Amino acid sequence: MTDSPSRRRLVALAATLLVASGQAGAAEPDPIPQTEQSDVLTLPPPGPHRLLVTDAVYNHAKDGRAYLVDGDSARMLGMMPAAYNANIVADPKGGHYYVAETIWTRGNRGTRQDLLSIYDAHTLALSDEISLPGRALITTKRQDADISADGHWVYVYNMTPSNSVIMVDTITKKVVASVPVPGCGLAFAWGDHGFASLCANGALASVDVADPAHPKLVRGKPFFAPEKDPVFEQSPTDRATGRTFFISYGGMVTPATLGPTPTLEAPWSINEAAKQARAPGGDTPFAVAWRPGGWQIAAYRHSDAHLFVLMHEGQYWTHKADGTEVWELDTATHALVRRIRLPAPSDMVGITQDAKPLLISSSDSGALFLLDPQSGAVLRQIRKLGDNLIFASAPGE
Amino acid sequence: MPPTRPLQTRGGQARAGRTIDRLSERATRLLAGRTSRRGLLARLGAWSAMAPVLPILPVRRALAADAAARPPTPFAAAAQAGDDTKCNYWRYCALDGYLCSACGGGVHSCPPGTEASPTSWIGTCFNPIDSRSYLVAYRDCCGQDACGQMNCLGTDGDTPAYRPQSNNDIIWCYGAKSLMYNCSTAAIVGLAG
Amino acid sequence: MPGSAGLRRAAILLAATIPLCAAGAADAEPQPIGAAQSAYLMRCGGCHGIEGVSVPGLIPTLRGRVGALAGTAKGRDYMLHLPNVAMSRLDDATLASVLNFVVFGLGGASTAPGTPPFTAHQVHAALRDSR
Ligand code: HEC
Repeated sequence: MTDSPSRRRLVALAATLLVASGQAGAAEPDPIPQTEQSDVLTLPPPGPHRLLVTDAVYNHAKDGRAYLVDGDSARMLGMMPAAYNANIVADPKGGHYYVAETIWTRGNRGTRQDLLSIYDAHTLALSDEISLPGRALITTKRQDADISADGHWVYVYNMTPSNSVIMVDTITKKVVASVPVPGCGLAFAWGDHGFASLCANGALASVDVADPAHPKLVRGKPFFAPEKDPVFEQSPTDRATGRTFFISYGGMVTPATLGPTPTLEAPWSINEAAKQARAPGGDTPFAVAWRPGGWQIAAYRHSDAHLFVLMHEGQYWTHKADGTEVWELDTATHALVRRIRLPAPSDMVGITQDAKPLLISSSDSGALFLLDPQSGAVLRQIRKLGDNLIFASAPGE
Repeated sequence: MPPTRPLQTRGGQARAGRTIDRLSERATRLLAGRTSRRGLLARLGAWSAMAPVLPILPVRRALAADAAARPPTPFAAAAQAGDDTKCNYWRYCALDGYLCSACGGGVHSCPPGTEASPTSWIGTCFNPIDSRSYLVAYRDCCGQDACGQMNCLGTDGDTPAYRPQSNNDIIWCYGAKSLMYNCSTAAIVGLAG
Repeated sequence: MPGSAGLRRAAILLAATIPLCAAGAADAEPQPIGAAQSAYLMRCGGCHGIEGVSVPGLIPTLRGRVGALAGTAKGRDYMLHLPNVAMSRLDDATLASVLNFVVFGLGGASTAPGTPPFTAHQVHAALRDSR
């Protein structure tokens, strides 16, 4: 039981002897050891291509899960259960994964339990379960849960249908507050102690939770028309700096810096960046144009402030249509850098944050593609990683 | 401004009778940026048994006067009115999910063993037979996991989840015993004005 | 529950006041739903119920109850500032007509005689800052 290292040494010795005996010839099979110990692996040290991929498994959503994938070998490294429209949030410090999920005591029936399940990022062992007072049950949006930049607070959006954000202390493992955000939804974490929500009138509400017992909510003025050209829930955001790009159905990008009082910059058009006319809005729903769409519609790379947006050609109200291309945009100059044709229409796009980045896309049959963002070449793929791959994220995002 | 309230679980059981005093107290609380679920949410259940007062609307045949009405969206332009087990059936213009009519239920009926939601969102769809728009309630059927047949992606008028009155990603099972989503129906509420 | 018989009677009276309900026999030409009721249905009715009857404990029932709110200044202000009302994005006149449909249509006997209607001007004054 305890002597496996010495066993291993024995096996190695046996192998050496075999080879030394001159019979090794070509393709001699490995020796069959007498006995083999079963063990459980832990994850290798994480690199920039350690991908976290969410599978919503729409056909039986109670069996949702998240996979860890090594982008360099295109191999699965492990998984975590993530039940029923779950959100998986990675600890920015790399220690844990937090899964906001909903489970019924008897599978598909019984008592509903909303949980924040905590996994050790090295062993993927379940380390804690925190009961939540609720969760929004919505086809999962990335910002249904988020984490503060220092990893101290997890924010979980709740809707009953009144709106609130549940705050969990990851150190004491306790729910510390349920912050009402009347008329607003989602949680975009900014800094170490705040989050912002998007509201039904097209404004932002920002909540400073430095003192969780006395959250300070500040409402902004509407900055978009939520019925004519709403911004996507999956607009990319950077919790450390608060830098966020609200992208609308019509391809308008509103740069924002979230904080106690968010600042908003003038919107610019993705189509105009590509020297096209702006995409027409809902008043002319038959007009065809290139538009953003899908589920995780965009990814942001900090090092050069480039956006990668999933685009397709279509009419208005195709905001959930899979993207056929990814457009790389420079957010400083509002210029199109390149258009990347995807190997298959994808509902998500991801980008790694390192100097040799991978672009990530999926297909509706559950394939995961790892692309060279410069050439668009498929470097590697996993033919069928899962059923409905809706999100992918990489360390440092 | 600061919306503060202690953590509370759902469904406080206050008495039904209300006084103007309590109302103004509630109003004051809300204006101060707070809501009290206990005060706001305790409600009588007696009305849920009340018979519907809206008449059943026959979908009327095309009238000369309406001949000019054109399908307002690409979905409407391609929609059909014959087969409600297909995604392009006209009422499904904003239905994102599985069709109850393909899972043992009907266009406004839940499959056996599931529960109809008392809440929904309401949109409009264009009927190609009479060229008129109808209000359609997208009520989900609840209590079992997804039925899996006919996954449709109608998105006319679908706005993000922070605008719940017109969003089809929310599981509209509020008020059902279980918030597990099985499939979606599209019940006609009336002829749009 | 105490008082429910009275409320039920009020509801029957109310039925006659909703224009659509006058449509009569099922084979009659369907009448378009009026603008205020349409707006109520599309912005409020999914949650509060097409007849103003919703889910006790989650979403308040308006039918036969909401009139009491409209009887006091604070109650009226509260109604105007409810998140789904204030952020409905309906224009002032339409939102006023929706609130009046709610108070005088759904409110039934809970709405005291002499309760003043909401005006576009009041809506504008109350919500100017949030839009
Ligand atoms: C997303 C669901 C939803 C929608 C849509 C909605 N409401 Fe509500 N309404 C609620 C909830 C929940 C409450 C309880 C207070 C709270 O939590 O905001 C409420 C409270 C109210 C009340 C107070 C009732 C009482 O007795 O305290 C009134 C009046 C009301 N709503 C009117 C409206 C009107 C008018 C509209 C449309 C313009 C509307 N609501 C749309 C969910 C909704």
